[in-house]
Amino acid sequence: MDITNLKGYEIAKKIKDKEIKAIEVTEAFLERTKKIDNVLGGYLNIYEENAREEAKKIDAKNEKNEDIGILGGVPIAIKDNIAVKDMKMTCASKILENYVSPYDATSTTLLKNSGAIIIGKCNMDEFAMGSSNENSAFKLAKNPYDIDSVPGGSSGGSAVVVSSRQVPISLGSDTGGSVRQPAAYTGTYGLKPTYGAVSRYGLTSFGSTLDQIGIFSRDIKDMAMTFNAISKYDKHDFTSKNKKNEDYLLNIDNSIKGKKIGVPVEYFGEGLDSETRKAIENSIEILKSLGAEICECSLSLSKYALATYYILSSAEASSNLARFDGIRYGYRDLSEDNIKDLYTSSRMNGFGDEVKRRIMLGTYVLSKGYYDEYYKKGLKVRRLIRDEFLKKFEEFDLILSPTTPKSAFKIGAKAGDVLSMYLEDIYTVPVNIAGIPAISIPCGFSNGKPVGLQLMSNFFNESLLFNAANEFDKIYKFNEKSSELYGGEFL
Amino acid sequence: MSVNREDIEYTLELAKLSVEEDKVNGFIDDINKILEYVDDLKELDTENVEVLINPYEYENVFREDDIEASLSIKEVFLNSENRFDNYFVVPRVIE
Repeated sequence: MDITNLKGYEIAKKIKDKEIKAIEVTEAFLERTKKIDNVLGGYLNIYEENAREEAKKIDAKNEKNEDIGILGGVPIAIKDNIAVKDMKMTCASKILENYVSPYDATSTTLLKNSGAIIIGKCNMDEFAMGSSNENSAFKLAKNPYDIDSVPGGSSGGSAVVVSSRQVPISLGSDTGGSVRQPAAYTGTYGLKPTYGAVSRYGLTSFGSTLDQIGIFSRDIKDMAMTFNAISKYDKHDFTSKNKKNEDYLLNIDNSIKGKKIGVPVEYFGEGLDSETRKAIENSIEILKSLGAEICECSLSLSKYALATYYILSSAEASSNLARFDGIRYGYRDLSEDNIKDLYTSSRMNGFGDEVKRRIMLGTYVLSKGYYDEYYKKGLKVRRLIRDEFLKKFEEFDLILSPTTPKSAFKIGAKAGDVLSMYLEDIYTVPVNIAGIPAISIPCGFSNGKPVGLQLMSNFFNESLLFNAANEFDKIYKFNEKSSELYGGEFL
Repeated sequence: MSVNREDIEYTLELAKLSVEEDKVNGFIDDINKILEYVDDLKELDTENVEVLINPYEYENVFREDDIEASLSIKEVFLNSENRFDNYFVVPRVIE
């Protein structure tokens, strides 16, 4: 039995039933990482000894028949913008190269309380700004299906370590598509929860009204199980929703017969490649065969979402990133002897180009004379876009689209072309503007690399996303296709 | 609307940021490309639309004003190399 092939929930059960030990599980995944991480670059820091110690604690508890938690002994990786106490949190930026988190993010605490073993911190685009992981200040991450292609971003590393079986589950963050796009590119499931469903306490802020911590997995039940663990009210985040805890596994095997699914025509325009289109059409046929009612619809304002996003996210980022000033933590340019030059020089040398570009854009749209024209306009359009979604959800249970227009592009292919990189998020950004949840489901291949099907639902209806994804894959069986066709050394 | 070098220098000053001289023109071009793209929003009539800041509109959120432990001084200084006693050291600010 190759432990790294097991699903997360199977691992949890086998450990609880004392068929295998948590330490054997951790060792198996660490060994796989040792073999392939140097090529794929999914991790920025790996904490082997800590993982072994925690795994042994789980085994000791289990020996005494104590509760080991729903994720007891399951290895998990965490994006490097989410705080884990006593581990580095660099956000893949030079300005935080030596920063060590003094506290746990709430999602980290909840994972630890559920018995998860944290293996390491994942590579990403600097401060989560990017769609290819090429903006990491430290190293590239590579797509396990084709190591000359990007894994997507910004949570590229979190996608790579799950896709290549170095962990069954990981956390990322999604501000404009940063979980769903890399999930689509690496043949994994990627969830962007409802805004407010997962606490942002301990997540390094980028666009505070758009950011959500999300989940990667190779199995939909693993995702629901992890969401059970981390979707909880947190008084440390005032935007966290105080709602009753739900069991997201409860309805996962329900029939989706009679569910109404809207297919917005605007998400199938030019730019969508023919193989991706075919994969989505095939997915629609599968959903029809399961009894779902598919109907064309229109989300005419979605075409304004990307412009709205770049105004709002950059504005929020320019304000959030003001805290990196070289004074209390992070990189400080010691050669400067007046305070203003110290700020400026520390930030100039600490931030990469994409981060600088967004701070400049954000500062510009917030500055006197441009605030109304850009920022306020963006906030108004945001309401129009959200209201259009809410209206559609009076009619439909789900909205369906491709996650991305194409499969993963080659490393370097979009270097220097800002807009073409931003257009990567064209189908994912509207969801963040509206605040609703969405999932990317592996649904086919284009150019020999995976593509994703995106399902969106109304506020706090993640349960239906898991249910539909689960029923879909019972027919489609992505993992079988993937291993038959592309069972190379990294998968 | 497009930005020129003067606008960019003013923006950099506001953001306490600087960019390498050989990259300035590239940044100006990029920002103009983005601004041109976002200009599409002007097609929409938003005269009577209220702004929406948080997508899920919250009522006022209250909590009990309980006293909780915060980070210890040791933890607070863990990430600073510029410390004197319990102070962060910075260059002289007042002449």
